Amino acid sequence: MTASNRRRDLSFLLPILIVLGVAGYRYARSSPLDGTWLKTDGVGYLANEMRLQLTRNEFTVRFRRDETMGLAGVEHITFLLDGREHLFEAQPGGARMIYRAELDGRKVVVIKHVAPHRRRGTFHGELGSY
Amino acid sequence: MESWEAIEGGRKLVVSAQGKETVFRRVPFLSSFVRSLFVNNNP
Repeated sequence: MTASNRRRDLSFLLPILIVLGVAGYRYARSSPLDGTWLKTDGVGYLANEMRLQLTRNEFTVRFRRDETMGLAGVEHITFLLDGREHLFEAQPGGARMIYRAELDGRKVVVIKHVAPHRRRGTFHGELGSY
Repeated sequence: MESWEAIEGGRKLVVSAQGKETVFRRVPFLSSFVRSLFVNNNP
């Protein structure tokens, strides 16, 4: 094998090695929760197919909206895993859902509760809290 | 309270909420990747 042939072989292998390296790095960095999941058992509000991504600070859930309810597109919900309260959902009438999320070992724990109505014009909260 | 936990070496996901459990199975990465190429609105 000549030197030019060897160089040609290596140049062909290089992109494959880079792709394998990136895939390996991503696999090594990913958590057991990362990936696409299909519902097999249980009923409830959760979608039949979800994609999850867990990082040190955030937990993201992606799922297709329920087309039978007239909704379209993909919903993204990101929970901040800092153990503090954040707004989850606000309704036009003033009702608000608050969540607190944290990583408990290998488990993501999310606690939601409905917050009391805020009187108009009397907001005294800090920046970042609701 | 909701909890999300991967069990059985990451093959199963159990979501517990209001005393009820919902179980999911993992879609293999390659299958998920191929589906994302063909399925519109893939999450």
